[in-house]
Amino acid sequence: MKTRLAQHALLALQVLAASIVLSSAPPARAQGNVAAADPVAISELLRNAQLWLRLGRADNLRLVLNKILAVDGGQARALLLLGELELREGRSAEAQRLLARLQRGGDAAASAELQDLVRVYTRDLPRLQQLRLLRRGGNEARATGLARELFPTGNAPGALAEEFAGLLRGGGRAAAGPSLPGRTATAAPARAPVPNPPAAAAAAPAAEDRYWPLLREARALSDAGALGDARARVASAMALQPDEPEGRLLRADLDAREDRRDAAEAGYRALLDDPAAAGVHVRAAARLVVLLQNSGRHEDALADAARSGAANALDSGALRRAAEAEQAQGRSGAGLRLLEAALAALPRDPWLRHDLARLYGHLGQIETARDLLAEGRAAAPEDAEQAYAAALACAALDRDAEALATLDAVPEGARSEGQRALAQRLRDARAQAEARRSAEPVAAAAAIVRRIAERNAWRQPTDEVALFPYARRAADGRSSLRGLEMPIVVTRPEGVPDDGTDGRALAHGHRWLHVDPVRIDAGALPASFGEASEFGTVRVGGQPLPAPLPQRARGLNLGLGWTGDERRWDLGIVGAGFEVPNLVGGWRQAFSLRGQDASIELSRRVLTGGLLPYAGTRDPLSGRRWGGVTMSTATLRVAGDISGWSSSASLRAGLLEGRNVAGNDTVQLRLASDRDWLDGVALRLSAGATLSLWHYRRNLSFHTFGHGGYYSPQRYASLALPVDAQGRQGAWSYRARASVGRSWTYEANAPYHPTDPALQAATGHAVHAGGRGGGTSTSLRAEIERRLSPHWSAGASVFADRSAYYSPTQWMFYLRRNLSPQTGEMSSPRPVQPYSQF
Amino acid sequence: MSLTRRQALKRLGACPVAVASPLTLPSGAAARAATCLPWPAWDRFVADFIGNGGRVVERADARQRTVSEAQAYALFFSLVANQQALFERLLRWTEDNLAGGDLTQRLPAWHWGRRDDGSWGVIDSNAAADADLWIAHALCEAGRLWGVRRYGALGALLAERVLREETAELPGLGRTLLPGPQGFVIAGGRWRLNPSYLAPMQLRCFATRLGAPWRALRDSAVKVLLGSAPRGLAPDWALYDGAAQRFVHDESDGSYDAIRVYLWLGLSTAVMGDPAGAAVQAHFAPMAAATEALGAPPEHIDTRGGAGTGSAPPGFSAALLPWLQSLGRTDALRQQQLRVQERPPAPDAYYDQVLRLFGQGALEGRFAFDANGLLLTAWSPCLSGAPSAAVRGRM
Repeated sequence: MKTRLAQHALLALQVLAASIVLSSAPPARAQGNVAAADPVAISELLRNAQLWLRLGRADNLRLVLNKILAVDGGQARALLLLGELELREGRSAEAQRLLARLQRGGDAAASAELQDLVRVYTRDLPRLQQLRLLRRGGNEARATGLARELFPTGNAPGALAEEFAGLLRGGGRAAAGPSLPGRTATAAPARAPVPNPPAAAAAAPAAEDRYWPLLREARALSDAGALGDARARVASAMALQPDEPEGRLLRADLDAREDRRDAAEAGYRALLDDPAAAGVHVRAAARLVVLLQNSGRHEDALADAARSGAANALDSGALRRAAEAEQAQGRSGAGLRLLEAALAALPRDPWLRHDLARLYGHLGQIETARDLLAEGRAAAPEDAEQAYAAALACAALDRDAEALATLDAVPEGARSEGQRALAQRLRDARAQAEARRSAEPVAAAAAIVRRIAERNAWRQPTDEVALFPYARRAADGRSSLRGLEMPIVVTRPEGVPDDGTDGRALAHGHRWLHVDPVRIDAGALPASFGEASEFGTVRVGGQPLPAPLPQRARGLNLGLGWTGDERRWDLGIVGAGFEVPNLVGGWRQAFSLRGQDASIELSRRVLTGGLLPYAGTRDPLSGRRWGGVTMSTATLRVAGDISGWSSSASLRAGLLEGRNVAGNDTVQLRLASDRDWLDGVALRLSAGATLSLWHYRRNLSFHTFGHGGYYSPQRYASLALPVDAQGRQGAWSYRARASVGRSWTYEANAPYHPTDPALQAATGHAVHAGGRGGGTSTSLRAEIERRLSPHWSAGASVFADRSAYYSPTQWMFYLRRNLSPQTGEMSSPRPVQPYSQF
Repeated sequence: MSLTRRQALKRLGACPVAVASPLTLPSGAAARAATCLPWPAWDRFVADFIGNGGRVVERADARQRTVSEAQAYALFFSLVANQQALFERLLRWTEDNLAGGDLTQRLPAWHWGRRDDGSWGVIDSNAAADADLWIAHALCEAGRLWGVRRYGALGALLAERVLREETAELPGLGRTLLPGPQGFVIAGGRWRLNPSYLAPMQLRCFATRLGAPWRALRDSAVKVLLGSAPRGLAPDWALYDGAAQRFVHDESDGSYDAIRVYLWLGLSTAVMGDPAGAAVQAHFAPMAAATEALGAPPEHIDTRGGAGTGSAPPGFSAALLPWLQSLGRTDALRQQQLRVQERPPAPDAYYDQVLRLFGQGALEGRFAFDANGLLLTAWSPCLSGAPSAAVRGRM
């Protein structure tokens, strides 16, 4: 009983809301006025909207609502429905604008409802989602509790009312009370006996007077879902004017909603055959089409849509699914018939065309398929989606070159990620094919296979965990550094949902999350004045430290980002928990520059060469914090092939800043070139040369207060000769890179306290001595990875750099879980890159 | 040939309800919209034989049967009459009932009707190659003339299936059309063939549109036509001995099937315009002579002895009309025309009616085939406007 009460309460509210809308217009007086009487037309459109809403056809719903708003910009229910639609599609800002419009219109009930919807879909969205999950999981009790929290009045706004009617009815007892009057007010007339039709001649005007209000009530009831009551009203109205088309249409609609499909169809068809009902033909045709499609009678729907020009009402997705079902059951002919008729009705639908072309291709009618696609492209040359669909179909027909050409015709800016991913896949395939035909088959094929293995490798969803210890012995408490980071990385590819080519989603990039706990330790700064005076402001104090000062820090690096073929970005924090944490991030875009690969990158990174720049520290005398140095850079990189040498040039300009650290800037140029000397699967050997030129405005490499503790020579040139070997053997892959080089450097003298003249003066204008330097250096990096199972890989790497004053060593041990099993070619080892090392 | 073409065009021009002005007919859409020549004989056929569902019913038959050949001919005539909705209905019925719902997947069964147990359905699921080719041909041409992709594709698919399932490599003949997928390979390296299944203009059309295998089929067709009719009289059926590489004349009757050999030859004059083709046409002259001598085509003719018996139904006369015309046998032509007028086929005589639609329809210029075997219709741009280059070259 309570349930029934609540149901009626809800109904009452909806009827009330609907009648507010409808009563705002004067009633149409006579049948002939229907078309001219806006309110009736609008209420019809609203009925349409309700239909689309119920059918879940957001596209058509939006069309209808926009139509209403074009006539009456303040139409409250349309604003409300559109607002709800925007919210459901995640455009809360747009919904807010609609809410403002609604509020200006002064419809308090609708405003309140939309406001409630905004709340639910924004602030309370997580709870809404949780509620849906609970329901789906069958956890009715908890769901009811949450529903009560989410809808404290017991009334869910908008379409949520229907969705959660069951829950709220059970729990919304409190709400049933206040609504009770509404129930009696609206429900009672429904049970009142239908008035007898008056004698026609005498009471004709009276009949008309009563006809339209009855019909409006019927509509409001129907909108509110009270179909039985609505039907009774329609019957009453039609007893007065049995031939009036609006009433007949409403009756057919009610038949359709109550699943009396034959009756509904007969009703619509009778209207369509009746020239006197021309005013409702468009609507009747559209609803007939929807009805037929809902009954699975797609061919009939198509025939009727063609006959009555109601192609807009067709659901092309349902048509595609129906055609696919035919094909799945081995009836290609039926699929063909359906798709052809569908495309004839909706010639601009790129996906119908795509499906049809694929079907023709499947039947061996390649030429027909190509003509079909060409026709679509010719009809809409600017349509990127048409091009994409055509390219996918071409690819499915093994016409990769045409697919690529089709995609290439789309301006870069108009391409979706899916299109880029498809283009990349096609280029891969082409490269592979070319490699097979190549004059140097072994080497070229190896290179291609490797490259594709590399690209596929990062497209996989993975979880990784690594240990990253490193050490550098230098001056304890200052430039020494021992550290341990434990990167935990979750990577998920972002696929194009069902591109249809082979059932496998195309990853066009991946999202990732880094959670890297960090511990670093620079050792203890000795207490002796000689050593300690090189640190902080100890020199100004003139005293040794009372005890050695340990320099260590613990923190967390957090980052999230997205990496695609051409673009990547990330955002994070380095050193949460350090003395000086820093926000970091980067953005990189690859592009083509006169046929060469180029990229531009903007980034802000923390310098991790020592504890002072990485974590920041405190001055033992003043207690002030300093350090935590970031370098913000803009980098332009161009790479290409110069007569067989793969060469690159990158130019970088950077600004360096840190807490209480003097500002600095740098320009760096790097030229590199190498080439493959051996190119096989088991061993690929490349060697070349690298030239680096750096300039920093200031030398801030020391650890006194105001310095950054990072290497910042005023002139630095190095020439290195790297040799790179990599290969794969079974479940193993390895890579080794050795380099010998020579450098020439100049570092200027640096004041002890570059940020503070007074402090500097207090040191007696002491300077750290600079000078020329350089020498030879060698470095070695070795990486190895083994696939333990299709789901697990493990690897290790070591890196050591040995030069006169700089000798860091890093290790890495990592374990990777591949969520999708890996059985193809091994890629090169892929050590985890800690977020600090970006 | 030039006479035929000219006469056909003249008739069109003279007809008071001619298709719309040639200038208004350049596009397929305009052609479809054009008013068609009235074709009372065809209208009557539609009314008498074709049910609403698109089935051609042989009313005189006890089983009220439908054969795939009848569906095929009706498809062709509805195309000639520019009746696309009817064409679609015929196709749909054929596809649904004879091809198990899908012409892309199988050949249509040749025989449908009331079964012995009273139910309706396929009686014999074997296919008939001539019907299959006529359906494929009608589809291909409908696709081209109406600009309907699906028809073109279905036609091509069906033709390919015929090639796969209803042809064989015969020693001495090369790739040859068999009458159906089953039952025509006889033990001992023999094949039973049907010359009337070979319509040269049709094979030419497929060769033009679908390429090489059809040229081989066309070449073998000429060998079958000539080899099975050593005296210029076509038999209904012929037995080919692969080892001896020659026809064995176990049955020599030339009758209801064979009459179509002459019909197809009459429709193939444009594609057989070369000397070799002309030689084939001339080879069958004895049939024209026999008809002229008897005043009517014999219902049966002994293709080895040359003796004709019985007076054939009027459809036979109609079937010979285009051929007699192309041979320039004007007396015989007039004689048979008169015979058809005086003794029109019975309203329920399906086969007679069909033969008449073909023979008279062609003579009336309602359709023709150009040198590439492509169909020209009274409503299509080629026949209503300037003749195509291929045709003009022969005029």
